[in-house]
Amino acid sequence: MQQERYLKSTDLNGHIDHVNEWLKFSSIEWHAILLSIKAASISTICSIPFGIGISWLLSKSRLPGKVWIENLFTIPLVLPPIVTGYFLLVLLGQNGIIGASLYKWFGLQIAFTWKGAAVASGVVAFPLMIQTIKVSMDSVDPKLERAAQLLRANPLQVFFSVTLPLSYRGIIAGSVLAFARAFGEFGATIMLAGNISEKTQTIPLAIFSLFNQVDGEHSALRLIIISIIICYFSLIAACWFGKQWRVGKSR
Amino acid sequence: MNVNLSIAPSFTAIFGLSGSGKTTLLNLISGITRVDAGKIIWDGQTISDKENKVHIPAHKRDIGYIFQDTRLFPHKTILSNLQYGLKYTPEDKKRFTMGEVTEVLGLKPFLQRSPETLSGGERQRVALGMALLASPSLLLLDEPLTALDRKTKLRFLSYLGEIHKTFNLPILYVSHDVTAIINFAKDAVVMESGSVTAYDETRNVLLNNTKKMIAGDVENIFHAMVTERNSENGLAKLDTSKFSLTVPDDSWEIGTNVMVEIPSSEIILATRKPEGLSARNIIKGNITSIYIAGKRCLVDINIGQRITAEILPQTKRELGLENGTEIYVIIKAKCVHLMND
Repeated sequence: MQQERYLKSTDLNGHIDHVNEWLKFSSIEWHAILLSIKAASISTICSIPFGIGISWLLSKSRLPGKVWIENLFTIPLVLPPIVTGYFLLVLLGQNGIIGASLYKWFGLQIAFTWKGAAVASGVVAFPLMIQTIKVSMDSVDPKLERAAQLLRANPLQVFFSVTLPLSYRGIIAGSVLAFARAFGEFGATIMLAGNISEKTQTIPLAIFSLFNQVDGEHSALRLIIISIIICYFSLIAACWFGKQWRVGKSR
Repeated sequence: MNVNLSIAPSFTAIFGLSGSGKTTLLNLISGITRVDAGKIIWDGQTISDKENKVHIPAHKRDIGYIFQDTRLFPHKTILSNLQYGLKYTPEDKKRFTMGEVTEVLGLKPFLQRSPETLSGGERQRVALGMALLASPSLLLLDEPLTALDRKTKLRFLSYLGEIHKTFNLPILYVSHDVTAIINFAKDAVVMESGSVTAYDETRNVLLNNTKKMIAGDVENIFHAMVTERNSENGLAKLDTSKFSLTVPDDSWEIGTNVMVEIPSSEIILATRKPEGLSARNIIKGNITSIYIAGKRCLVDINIGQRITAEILPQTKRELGLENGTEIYVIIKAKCVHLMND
């Protein structure tokens, strides 16, 4: 009996050792994981206010030429990401149209830094966010907004008290979609940020590089599993946020 | 749409077939729709003027609007729906308090509920409360066509009449039910294909436009309380604060508040106190006004409160009815329709 139990516990210990070993990420892997989370989070969070603002313009304003604006922001969705990345590099590279001034005035360098990874993934993910938020704003009944106006609310107050709270599902869904898209960004990122390991190498870039190495397959698989877990949890977090928000409001 | 009209600030009804421009008129006044030409002046202030490019936006107009499809905010409780307009009303313009409005409209039991749990009539009252709490200087209402049953509609109208009187708030009311509104609206506007064809006291408008109106009978509507029940003869007694009525007992509890509806055409008038009559209710009063048009004649009688009887113009001449004539109002017990208040 005793022996059996002992054997079992060594079995368990063996498993734990195994897991521990599995979790020992190399420095390159750690950097890729953290950079991916950082770039996707920052790009998503920074996109949200613009996403909401532009969606509102497209959905609710009487702006002439709305279709053109919408198309402009949808282009990255249909363009090969590499091409988007190329244009971003032309714009934001150190000698680029905007990049040069940014560097000159603020000492800010975007190309081939982690910021480049954030910008590239953000730009590519932005159309998804806008499309989702716009659809949910379209579904907010303009009659309710008019009713609010007749209760003395000015357009800004109508937006914050009626339009925004009634389209929150779309905002959350759009943000999660954008995060997931940014997290998986490859083409534009490799153009603008490069594939510098431990500096600008995100998970997708690392997976690609590791598969091309002789003994990198094991590492690559680990990163694949990690990316599945992160994306799954971001979905769960979105559901949770949605629920919290509703509970808070109905009180 | 071509309207040239100046309306006195009272309780004014707007009639007209669908498509005659009633709602459009309200939208123009509220500022939801811009005028293509011409101007709108409210309370001495030009609020819309195409030529001089004046368009005061709807939220700055001091005008409340209750839409045909009562619009409550689905993401807010009834309380925060009511607080909505109040929140954006400047201190010096506030005329109503939350306590007053919830009391008058009987909204206290709903405050914590969400809009989707309310019935059509309750929603309508909440919408009225929301509009009142934004302290408008003019209230526009577009009556729901089918959403409310007649009883609910009448009850809502009597709330509205009370508010009009208590707070001296001018009301413009688009109505589809001529017979109900006549008890509440002093004046009426008739619209036909985008133009105003009549503007007068409601009774005159009704008489002169009988053919255009969907229904022509005037209904008298009162609030009363059941005060007596006699199981032997199967009759019950109702009391308004001014007079009492005998009606067939219909298992109403004593103390119940009821709404009484009496069609004007079922009221009989007599210049002398009749005897040996089968009718149960004989009430003495004085004629206050007489309206005649064509083959119809409406007589308003003060019996402590106004009641309207419809007679033939011929009868009026034969009886020699004039303003101030002392008269007996005869109502058959069977002709009194009761509704839960």
